[in-house]
Amino acid sequence: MQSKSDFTADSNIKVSDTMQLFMVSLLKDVLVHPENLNSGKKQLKAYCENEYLTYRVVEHELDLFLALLADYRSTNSPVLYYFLRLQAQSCFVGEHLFAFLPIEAPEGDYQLNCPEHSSYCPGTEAGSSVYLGGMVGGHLLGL
Amino acid sequence: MEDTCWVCNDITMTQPSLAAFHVLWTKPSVVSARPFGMTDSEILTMIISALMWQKLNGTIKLYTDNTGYAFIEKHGLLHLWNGGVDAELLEMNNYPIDPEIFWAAGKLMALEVQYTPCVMLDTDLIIMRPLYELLAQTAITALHPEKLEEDVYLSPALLKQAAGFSFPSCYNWEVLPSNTAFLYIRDESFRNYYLQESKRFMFYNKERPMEFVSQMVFAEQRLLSICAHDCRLSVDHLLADPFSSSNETVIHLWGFKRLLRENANLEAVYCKQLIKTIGKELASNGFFQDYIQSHFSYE
Repeated sequence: MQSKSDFTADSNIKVSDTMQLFMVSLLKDVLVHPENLNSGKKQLKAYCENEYLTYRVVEHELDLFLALLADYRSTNSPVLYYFLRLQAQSCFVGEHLFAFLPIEAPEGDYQLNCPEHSSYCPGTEAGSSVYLGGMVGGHLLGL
Repeated sequence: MEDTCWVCNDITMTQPSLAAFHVLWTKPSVVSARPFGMTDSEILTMIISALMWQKLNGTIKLYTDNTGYAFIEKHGLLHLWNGGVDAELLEMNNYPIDPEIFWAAGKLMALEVQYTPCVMLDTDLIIMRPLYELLAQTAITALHPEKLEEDVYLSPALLKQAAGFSFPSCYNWEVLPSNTAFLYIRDESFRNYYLQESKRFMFYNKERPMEFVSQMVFAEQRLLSICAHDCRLSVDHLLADPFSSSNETVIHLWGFKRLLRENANLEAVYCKQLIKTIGKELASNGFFQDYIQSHFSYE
């Protein structure tokens, strides 16, 4: 059975404003009080039922977001920050809501596109990690 | 001419077919006792690379060896390439080339037997647009120009050379190298000259460089531009600048592969995003949809 939160089936799931605000509230709480994750997930389950979302899928997206956030916090990598913002969208936290989360942007200039640098180094980052680790055309993937 | 993709029965092309090829040469891994493997993200990118080429541009063939063949068979990918899979050429090749120094030489071995015009396409590169009209106007098109960074593109005095080898005086060392993750060559005569010079440099050239890339990038990328200059041919590029936001044609993992290998969470998000964005283009492709359902569905 395909659920509407299965990314292989539908990449643009629409949920209510209420759901979006709940996700922001949940994340804000969990980021400050990680011990509240389990109770937050119980509430999330109820919200998912109201929105006809498959809870297991949304939980997976939430867990992935939190895991990536932990990686980002330990590295302050601009690349991880961009992917974190992408993953937030899978948790129904769009660009405008992401700004409300207590997540600091990486230090320095972390623009995606570098007009100056190109270097052929497979297996190494081309130039700097700030340029998506050397990926060409990342903006075509929504980065 | 319309072309039917035999994998998905999807009639998508309205232009003449361009022949491309992928290469999976595992010998560099095998000889260094590293087991050959590709991550989920690398496999997914390769699949989309092949299917998008078929949808937008034409046929694509895979050249690999026995180890590579076993790998793609194990992953259910033998029918991915509509031009078929050749596992003999690279397996049987006995050129005196050190695969650890010249780890991408398999691409050049495959290029040697391809009919021209043809496109050499790296498995981590996805072409997002039809290219026939663009390429029809050029003799040589590579991905993008490279800067002559002296720690990557060594001076001729620093390049390792086989005994008795010398660089011809006609070489112009000022021309910019070209990234060959994508390479279109129209004419057999130029292809032969380029490969002749590349092989002349690689054969019996077994002294290890201090750097990982310098010998290979000379043999593949700098020599392309030098040979083109010598033939009075210009090298066109799909991208003037690899990191330009005006690029609507190319996704190339390039050095990003290393980050994906190091971080499973990053890899999961990348795969998801690739499927969400490019997957739309392959919505009617049965091969792709089956692969995604069996490898990436949560259900």
